[in-house]
Amino acid sequence: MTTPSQLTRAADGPGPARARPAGEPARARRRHDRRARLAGFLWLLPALVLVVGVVHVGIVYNAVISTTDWNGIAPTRNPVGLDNYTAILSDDVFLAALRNTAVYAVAVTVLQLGAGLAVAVLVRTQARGRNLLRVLIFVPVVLSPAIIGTTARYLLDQDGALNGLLRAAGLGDLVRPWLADSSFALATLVVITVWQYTGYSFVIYDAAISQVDPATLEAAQIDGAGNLRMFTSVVLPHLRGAHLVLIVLTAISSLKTFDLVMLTTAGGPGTSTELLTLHIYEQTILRFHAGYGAALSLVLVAIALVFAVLQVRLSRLREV
Amino acid sequence: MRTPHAERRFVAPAAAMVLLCVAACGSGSGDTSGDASDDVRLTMVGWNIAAAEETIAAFEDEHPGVTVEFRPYAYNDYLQALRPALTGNDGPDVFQVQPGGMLTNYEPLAVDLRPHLEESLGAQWQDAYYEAGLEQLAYDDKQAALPGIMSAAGLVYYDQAVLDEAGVEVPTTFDEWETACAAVVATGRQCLAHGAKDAWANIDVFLAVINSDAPGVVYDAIAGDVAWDAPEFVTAATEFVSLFQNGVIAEGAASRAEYPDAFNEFVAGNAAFIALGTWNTAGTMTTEGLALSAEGISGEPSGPFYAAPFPAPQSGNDPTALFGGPDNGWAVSAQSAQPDEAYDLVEFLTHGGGQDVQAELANFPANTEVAISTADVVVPDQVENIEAQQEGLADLVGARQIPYPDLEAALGQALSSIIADPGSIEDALAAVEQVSAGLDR
Amino acid sequence: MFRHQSTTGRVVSQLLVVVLLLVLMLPLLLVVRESLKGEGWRNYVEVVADTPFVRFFLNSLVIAGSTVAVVTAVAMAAAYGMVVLRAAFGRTSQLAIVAGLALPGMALTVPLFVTVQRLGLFDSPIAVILPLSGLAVPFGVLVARNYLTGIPGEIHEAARLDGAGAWQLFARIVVPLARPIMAVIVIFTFLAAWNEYFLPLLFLQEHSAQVVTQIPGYFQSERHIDLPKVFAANLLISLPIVALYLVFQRQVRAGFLAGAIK
Repeated sequence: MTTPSQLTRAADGPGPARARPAGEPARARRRHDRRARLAGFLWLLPALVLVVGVVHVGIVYNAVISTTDWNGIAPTRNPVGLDNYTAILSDDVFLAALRNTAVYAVAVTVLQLGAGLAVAVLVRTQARGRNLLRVLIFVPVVLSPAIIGTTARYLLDQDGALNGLLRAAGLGDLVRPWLADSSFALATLVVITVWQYTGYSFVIYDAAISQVDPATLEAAQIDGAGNLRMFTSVVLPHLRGAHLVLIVLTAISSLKTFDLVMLTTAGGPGTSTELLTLHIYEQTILRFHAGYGAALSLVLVAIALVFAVLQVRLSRLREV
Repeated sequence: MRTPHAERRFVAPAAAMVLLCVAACGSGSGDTSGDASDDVRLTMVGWNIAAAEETIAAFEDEHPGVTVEFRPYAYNDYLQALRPALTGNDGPDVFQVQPGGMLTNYEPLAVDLRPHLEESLGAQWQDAYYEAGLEQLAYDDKQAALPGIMSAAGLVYYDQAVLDEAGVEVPTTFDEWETACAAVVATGRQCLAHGAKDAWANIDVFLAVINSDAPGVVYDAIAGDVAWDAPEFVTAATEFVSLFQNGVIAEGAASRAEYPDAFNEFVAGNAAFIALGTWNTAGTMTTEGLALSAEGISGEPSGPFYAAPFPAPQSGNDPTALFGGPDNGWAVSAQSAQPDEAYDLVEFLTHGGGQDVQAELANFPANTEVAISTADVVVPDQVENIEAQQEGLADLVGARQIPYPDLEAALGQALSSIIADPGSIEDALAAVEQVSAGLDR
Repeated sequence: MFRHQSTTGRVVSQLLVVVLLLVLMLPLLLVVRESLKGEGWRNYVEVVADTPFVRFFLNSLVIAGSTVAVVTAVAMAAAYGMVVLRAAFGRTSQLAIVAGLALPGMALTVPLFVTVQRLGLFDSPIAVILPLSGLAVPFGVLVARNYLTGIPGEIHEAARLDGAGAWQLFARIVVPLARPIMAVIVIFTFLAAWNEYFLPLLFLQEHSAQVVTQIPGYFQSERHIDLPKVFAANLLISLPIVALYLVFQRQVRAGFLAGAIK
């Protein structure tokens, strides 16, 4: 049986490198390995079946629909080849949506990761209120888009509480209808999103930091490392995987943002906050172009896939 | 006065509908009322009907052996849920449609109601409904749906208390409106509460503008006979956007929703006007309706409220006539296994007892023989106001909905762009014309 | 972790905590205030009294609980297979699973509807649990896999030397060590399932089978919104997730070595 002390020791340092039973013939071991790896596949099968059954089937379905002119309702649909895809290239609203989505996704990802990590560090300092912070940071995550969207509209309106605060602070020049000003609306949506979902990245960073062995930290401290150096040399290197996971999760969920924008700006003013998902909704549901909407969905899938591939590549790299 | 919920006959429709279903579903197993074999069970789906519970109870009284299960959805959910549901074979028997693009696209999934109508109401069945109510729910020669209630826009509702405090009269032109608004804003209120986030609210205001400037030209443009960047449209768009610049509409409207944001401001007395249509009469001019509207605000509702024609942009012109038609329609699914009973339900909703329920609530009936009830008005002189609206419904300048979803979306997009950047009027209208020219009408 | 801070460090961190608390708290207070407009605390009473609140609450509990169980089990197993057992087709599977994050929900509506209809699953909670699980599994696999990668391989080797089989290794070593990340998976899967609005609406036609996200709808219709009660209802249905977070956060805070020592 493994004892705690053994584990701690193993976790501590380099330890004996991958001991193998001596004398075992290499070929037999390889055969055994292959069989073990095939058996290992059974462990991933349930996850694979679920995801393929639910999502991949949907992707294939959309791919099929995207080559037709289906309106989403009629029993008939005519094949149109790749027309829907070529039409995307000359769709001005799509191009605006693509640009907005890219800006939004990048900004949200960067800010949300930074803020989440900062909070995960702050709750480990001696500051008063850190435990309250731990709780409050998560509360916005659980609130429904209906609440966040409606509150944001009121709070950020011309006569809303934020502008009231600005006026009171003598910053009247900054007062503006934050979500109704086409130069600020997208940035405001980024801020709302980061406000709501920093708790998300916090929880993941929190879990990752909890994996850092306290003994290692203590050793560093005894060596006279300051907090900053301890953070940069012990904690940060451990967080590479967490960054990767969060970049993928945050970027992809930003690509899929819909409710918040629908409830606050509906893509306006003009096309200043039009996102790909809003465009898909409009085309598929409101304008009855299910075929075109499916093509747009596949474009979104393709963009998300880039992140997925990146994550898989980089995470493999990390293990080697 | 707030009415406790015991008196709430006129409950929030969705709540009423859901509660009804709870009752129905809950009693389903326990209620063994004898010969279940004859029972017909109808399913009906929709997003917008007042007093559904009362209506269905009345229908079931009239048709023993038929039970109706109503599933209410929020509009956006309805649009997404209805498509797959109607193509399956256990979908709804009766479904609600909106005139315009929704009718055009869903019409193939609906039964033609003409044979039923001729059999049930006789050869003159068309006389039983407002003409626009039938016309906008027909597709070629097929009567795909029948109107639930009528509604029309082209009005501004105003709060007499706010106007009195500001010392202004109801404006009839944009010039008067601008002056009146300066006085209203000086009292610390908004003038015209408007939710420019919602494309439909902008389109209503735009139609009110152009239907005064050049009555009917917009319908020629919808038909493809006039270009959307013709001079009348440039003028109308300029007048439309002037409301956002001259203090009539407060800054920041682009992130406000018509419901609940603008409407609540209006009901609470924080704004003098709101540009809505007759569907708003029940919620502002009847005691019960107003009590319900006031649930969304803190404190007592303001008022009394009245409606007046939307002011004319150009002095010397008449204000717009009302434009609208059927607020929504009811259709029988082509997949229904009980099309006869389903038709009975649709007829009840649109011509029979269902119309009495709507009239009682101060919704405008689609049946020409049913008069709207004015018994519950907040103040007596609202009666005249409501009767004027009913007359206006018989003399509409055109429809509210544009039957081509692409064109409707393009116009909504253009108006939003113009609000954001008033310098872009010509480009924005050219984009609408491009879509219009490319339509397969 | 940072038990010894310099004075400057202490001041800066304290300042940041105060600012963050304010930024978080002020909008939340506005939300609570909105929920108390009109009839005050009675809003909350009416949310529970005027709706099938308890019924829907239990339905949600069944659906969210089952989804959590499925996702946690399946994701942990997959991550274990990939990282520890170095399963065949690991890389391809990982890509396929992570790709499951990509499709936006509204593009899934129709294909899911067709599938549920073909399988005759309408009105069964399974019609909601399976899609919700499929949608949450990629997240679970992604974080679990990353976490297991962070556990020194020597631990597994040590266990293997002790002669533990794949199953024992999973149950006795990996699961206890992975408790912090399992807590994360539980929290977020529960959150997603509990807050899901559209799938139950679509697939559970029988009204009594509906879930808590339908509650706010009782106070709004096409042209009428009782905003204070909508807010009260939303806050009320959010409470269980916050409670769950508080319970499972302790697992995360305890760190993974706590799992090893237990």
